[in-house]
Formats: sequence, structure tokens, C-alpha cells
Amino acid sequence: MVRFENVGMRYGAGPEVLRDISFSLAPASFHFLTGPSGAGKSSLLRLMYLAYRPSRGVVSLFGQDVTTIQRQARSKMRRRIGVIYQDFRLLEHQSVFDNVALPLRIAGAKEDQIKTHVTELLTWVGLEDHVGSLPTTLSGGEQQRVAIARAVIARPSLLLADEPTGNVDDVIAVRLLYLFEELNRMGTTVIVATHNQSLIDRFKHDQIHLSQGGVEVRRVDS
Amino acid sequence: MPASHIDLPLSNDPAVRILPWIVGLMVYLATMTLAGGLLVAALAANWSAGLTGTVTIHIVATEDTSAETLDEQVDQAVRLALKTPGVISVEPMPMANVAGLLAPWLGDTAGTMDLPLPRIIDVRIDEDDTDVAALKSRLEAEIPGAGLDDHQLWRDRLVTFLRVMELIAIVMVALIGITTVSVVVFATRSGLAVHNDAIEILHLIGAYDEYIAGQFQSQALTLGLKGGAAGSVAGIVSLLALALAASNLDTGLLPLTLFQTWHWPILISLPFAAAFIVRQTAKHTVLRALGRML
Repeated sequence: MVRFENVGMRYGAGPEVLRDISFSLAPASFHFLTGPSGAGKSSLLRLMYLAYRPSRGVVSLFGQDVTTIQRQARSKMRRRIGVIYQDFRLLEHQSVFDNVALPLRIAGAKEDQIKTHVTELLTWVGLEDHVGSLPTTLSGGEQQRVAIARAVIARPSLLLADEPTGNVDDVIAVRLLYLFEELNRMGTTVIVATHNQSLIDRFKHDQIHLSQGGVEVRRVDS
Repeated sequence: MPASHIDLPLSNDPAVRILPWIVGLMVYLATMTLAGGLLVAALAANWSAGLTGTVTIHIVATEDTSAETLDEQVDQAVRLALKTPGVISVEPMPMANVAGLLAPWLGDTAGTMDLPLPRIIDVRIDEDDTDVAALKSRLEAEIPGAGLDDHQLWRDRLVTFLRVMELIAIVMVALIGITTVSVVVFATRSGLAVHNDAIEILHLIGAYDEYIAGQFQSQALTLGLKGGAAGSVAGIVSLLALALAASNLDTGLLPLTLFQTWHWPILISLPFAAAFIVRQTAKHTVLRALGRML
């Protein structure tokens, strides 16, 4: 599903923020991405959601080398990846409904299907009363749920979450993790970048641990 | 696949809001320039047609030539012309008319002064059947002081003038087009910069470049049509006003009646052409910018 081989990454002409990263993740697996601040967690995720190219090495997603695929194929690959950004990155001028509907519209779904699925998902995340609201009128936790709904609406094969519990209390954080586990059970490969040790301890999943630009995959005892 | 749903708030951009005004102004200028070019072409064609099929025989009088001799020479030239195959009619110009032609230089008394005025004979010919060169040779050989003008030099100058005017009109319309394209490129780049974050989100969610470009091109087409229509209406109203003012002058200096039926569709198509150019420019500007993204 996800394979890194001797991957290095740098921003512009700066120093390498990731060095010789090699690991592979099986389909439908669940991993926490851990490590100290500045270890390169967000950079690793950026490589996975195809926002950046590796400066060296090979990154493969879904069995394809992402550095060599055609532009259109890369866009198609992105549709199989759901991303929850640390800062949500919602379209502020669009309603909650339109934000969540975005991946389906981009994929060319019909409006009646979009309406059904988006309404259903917004009810599921408890935002049925905010369908027409603008993101700026919502609390941080509500915006996060919109971001999650947008990330999962198209049933991605790979879900990447960058500090998804950073802006919510422990109760909501636990509920979010249950939600990710449910998606994982349905076949989605999930990677959650987090600093929250209590969540890591509570939800027993393998870890991709980054430190000083290197990587270590830690297996949990089953 | 182009976007059918607008995800970017492009209509709020200051650079986009000014776009219809710029397009309107450009279409107005293009309408007036093109109308001027078409009018000049029609005018020149009209003048040229007036000269086609006519030649002028002139007999220059000297101080020694008496009026009677000149009259005989005119008769001789008329007979000679009439015998020439292809000549339709021959008509000596009355001396009063000749004096009238010279009046701007010699004053109204030119006809009464004892001046050796030339005699002029209008000859209508069938250009295909008349050997103008042979007629000219015979006139010059048989009648002292006689010559023939087929207006070729004047026609050549007219054609040159016409070509220059047409070229100027084409260059002006091209400059207007280039200016419009530049403004659209600027407005689109401004929109790309303002909405960079939203565009990146669309891009990362998996939008094809054409989907994102579609957002800009739909907006550009709508604004281009609005501005273009306004500019076109203003241009046509201005032309009609000019026509009205020119008809009051009654001088024939600005014969807008020379406008042909087929000229109007050309002028009316300008806003559509402008809107298409605006749309394509926006599309290609966005595609080029997106091409630099991963």
C-alpha cells in the first residue's frame, strides 16, 4: 500500500528533513506516526499525500511509483487519499455542505448522490444542524469534524491525519480514534500523526517513529 | 473535466471585478477601429470604382494655339477616340467646368481670363476591349499637345493609401487584443495568487487541472460577455450617432451609407470574439500556472 525506499526530502536548497527513510505498510493497516517536534512527521505525510516530491529514493503508493506517474494519474491517485490537515484547510467561503461535498464533485458524482451522502455523513459526525453554516462560524472541534467528513466522504483507500486531536478535548479525541478504527475495519489504511501519548497507549496500533530524520517501525504486541 | 460548480470565490477579486470594464472599453475601441477600417476600404473602393472604365484626354494649349485650332483638335480627338474599339462614349468637358476645376488655384475668374486653359475630354471605355496604350500613342502622334490619362497613378496611390489604412486598423485591433490578453493574464494571475490555498486544496483532493481552470474560464467567459456586450452596444450607438451627424453635414465626407450589410455581423461578432479570447487566455494562464505545481 505504502512503500518508502531510501527516501530523502529537503525543502528547496535546505538541509534534508528526511534521510534514508525506508518502510512499507500493508493495506488496511493502522499506524500512529510519532516522533518529537521537527522530526519530519508532517513532511512524511506531505510525501504521502503527494504535495511534495522526494529529493531522492522511491515512494510507492498503491503499487505505483509516485515520482514517475503521469499528471492525470497522480490526480486520480490523490482521490484515493483522504487527508485531515492539522489546520483543517477548509474553504472558508463555502458552506459546511459544500466543503464536505468537494471530493465527490471533483470526482464527478451526481448532485443527488452528493446530497444523500453528504447529508448522511454530516448527521453521522453530528453536524446536521450546520449544513449551511460557513466554517468560520463553527468551533474548532466542529471545523475538525467537517475536515474529517471531507477526508472520508469519498471512502479513501488511504487516510492521513496530521495531529487530528490537537484542537479537541480527550473525549472527542477518543471518539475520533474510534471513527478512524471503524474506517480501518472497512479496509482503509490509516496513518495518524500524533503527540498524544495517552491515545497511543489506549489504542494499540503499530507506530512509525521518526527521530533525527530516520525512521523505525514499532510493532505492538498482539 | 471542467468544473460545473464554482468552488473559488473569484467574483470578489478586485482584479476580476474590473475585467468587464476593461473588456468593454477594448471592444468599444475595436468596434470603432474596425468600423473605421471597413469604412475607409469601402470609401476607397467606391472612389476606385468611379474611376474604373474612364480615361481622360487632355489637350494642352500653348500661347500660339488659337481657340479655333483647339476646337478642331478637340473634334479630331473625339473622332479618333470614337473610332477606337471598346470606346463607349466621348464627351468634351465644357470650358466652364474646366475653369471650375481650376477655380481653387486661379479664382472664380479663371474662365474669363485670357489664359490658355487645357481642353479635357471624358472617355468611357470597356476596359477589356480597349487598347488604351494604342489610343494614347495615336493621340500623341496625331494631335500636338494631346495626352491621355488612365488614372493609373492616382489609382495606385489610392490602393497604397487603402492598404496603409487597413494595416493601421489591423495593427490597432491587434494591439487592442494584446492589451486585453495582458489584462486577463494579470487578473487571472492575481486570482491565482489570492486563491492559492483553495487551489492547492482542490489540487490535493484530486482535481484535474482542467477542473480548476474551468472555474476561471467560466468566470472569465461570463465577465467577457458582459463587458463585451456593453462595449459593443456603446460602439454601435456611437457609429449611429456619427452617421446621424454626418447626414446633417451633407458633404459626403463621411459616407456611413457605404457600410455594407456584411460589415455589421463582423462588428457584432466582436464581443463574442473578445469573450472567447478572454476565456481561452484565463484557461491557458491557469493551466500554465498549475503545470508548475506537482
